[in-house]
Amino acid sequence: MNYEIIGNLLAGILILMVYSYLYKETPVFRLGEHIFIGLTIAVSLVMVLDAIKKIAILPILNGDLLLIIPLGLGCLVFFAFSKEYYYIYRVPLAIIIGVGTGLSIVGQTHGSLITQVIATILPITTPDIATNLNNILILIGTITVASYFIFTVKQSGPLKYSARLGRYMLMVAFGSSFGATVMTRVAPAFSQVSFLLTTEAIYTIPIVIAALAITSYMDRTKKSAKL
Amino acid sequence: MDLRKVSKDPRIIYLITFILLGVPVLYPIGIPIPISDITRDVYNFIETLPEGSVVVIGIDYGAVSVPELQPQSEALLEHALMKNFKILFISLWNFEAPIYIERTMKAVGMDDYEYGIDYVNLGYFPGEGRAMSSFAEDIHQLAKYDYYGTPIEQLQMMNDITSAHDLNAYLSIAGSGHGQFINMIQTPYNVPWIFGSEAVAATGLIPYIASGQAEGIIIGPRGAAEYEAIIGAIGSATAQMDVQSLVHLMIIIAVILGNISYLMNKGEN
Repeated sequence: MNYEIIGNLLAGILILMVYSYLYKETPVFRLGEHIFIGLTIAVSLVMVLDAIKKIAILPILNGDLLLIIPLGLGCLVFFAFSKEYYYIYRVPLAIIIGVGTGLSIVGQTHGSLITQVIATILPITTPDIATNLNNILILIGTITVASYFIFTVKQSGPLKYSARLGRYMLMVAFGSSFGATVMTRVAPAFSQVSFLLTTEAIYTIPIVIAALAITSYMDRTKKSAKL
Repeated sequence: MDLRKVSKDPRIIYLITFILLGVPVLYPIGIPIPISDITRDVYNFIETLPEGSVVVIGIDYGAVSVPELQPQSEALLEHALMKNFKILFISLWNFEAPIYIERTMKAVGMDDYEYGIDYVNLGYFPGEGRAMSSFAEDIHQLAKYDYYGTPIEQLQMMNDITSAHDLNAYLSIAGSGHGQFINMIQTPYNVPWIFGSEAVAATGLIPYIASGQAEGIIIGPRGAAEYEAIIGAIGSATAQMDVQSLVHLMIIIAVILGNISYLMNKGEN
C-alpha cells in the first residue's frame, strides 16, 4: 500500500475542507479547522516533552542530580489548575519572568536601542549626493516619527508639524509593509494550489466541486421555497 | 460591468485569484527575475567564509511560514554544502521547526555528508530568549543530546564548538522573533548574522542591516528565487514567481477598480 498517495489524498481533502470557507462557513470547514488545531497542539506537546527529556530527564538519569531543582520548579506550574493551591504556580512564573527580564534588559538595551541610535548618526556631507539625501531622509524620518509618539505634552507649535510629518512617514512605512503582506499571503495559497494540481490530490477537486454545486443548488431551492 | 456587484461579492475575486494561482503551475510563463543587491550581499558574505567554517542554520518557522521560508532554507543549505561548511541545525523559537529541519535536509540531500562530522542536528529547545542566551553562552550545557538522542560528546564536530564565540556565521531563517535573536546572540557575542525572513517582516529588519548588526537578508519567496538563481539551483521559489507577479498585478487592478467604483458611487450620491 502506497502511504504517500493516501497521505496526499488526505491532505488534498483537508485543504479543500478549509478552503470551502471561501464559499461559505459549513460544518466541513469547522471540522478541518478543529483537526488543524488538534494536530498543532499534539505536535507542540510531543516536541516540548521531547525537549524536557533531553534537557532534564536524561541528564538526571545519568547523574546530573542538580537538574531536579528546575524540573521540580517547572512541575509547580501545574498548580495553576488547583483552586486551593493556585498561588504556588507564581513561584516558577516569577523565576521565568525574572530571568527573562534580566537577560532582555542587557540584550535589548544594547542590541535594539543603543546600536540603532548610533546607526542613525550618519554623515550628510559625503561626496555622493544620493547618499547624502538618503542619510538626511533617515535623520528627518527618525526624529519626526519619534516626535509623533510624544504624548506627555500637547502637540502644538513645531511639535505639531513634526508629528504630522512623522505620521506621513509611518503611513509610507506601513504601505510598504502592506505590499509585502500581499506576497506573504499569496505564498501559502500558491503552495496549496500547487500541491493540489501536481499530486494525487487533484482527484479530490472534482468531488469537492460537485459537493459545492449540490450545496449551492440546495441553498437556492431553500431560498425559493421560503419566498 | 457593474463594479459594485464585484465589491459586494468577493467570491468573484477569489475565483480569479484561484485561476491565476493555478494556471502558471500547469503552464509556466518564466518571467525573468532580476537579482537585487540585498540578496547578492548575502551570497557575497557567505562566499567570503573559508572552507570548514562553522555555520548555524537556525530554522525557526512553522507550517504557516513554510511556503516563504522553506525555499530559503533549502537554498542556504545548498550553498553551505557547496562551501564545505560545518553545519549546525537548531531551533530556538518554533516547536514545529524540527519537522522542517528534517524536510530541508531531505530536500537538499545529505547522503554525501557524514552526520556528526559534517553536520549536526540539535533540534528544538523551548524557552525562547532564555534558550537563546543559554545556547550562546554554553552550547554543551543546553544541548546535552542531539535531536536523535546521541550524547553531544560523541559528536566529533561538536568538540570544538562550545559557545557562540566559535560560530563563523548564523543563518537565521525565522517567521518571527528576529529581535530576540539579535539581542541574545548576535549583539553580545558579535556573531555574523544573516536573516531569512517573510516579506512582511523585512521592513522591520532592514535597520539591523543598516546598523551593521546583520550582513544581509533574504526577503520572502522573491529573495529565495533570486538566491536560487545566484547559486544555480532552481527550486520551488522560482516556480512561485510567475504566480506572485500575476496576483500582485491583479491586486493592483482591483485596488484601482475599487477606487473608481468608490468615486462613481460618490458622484452618484
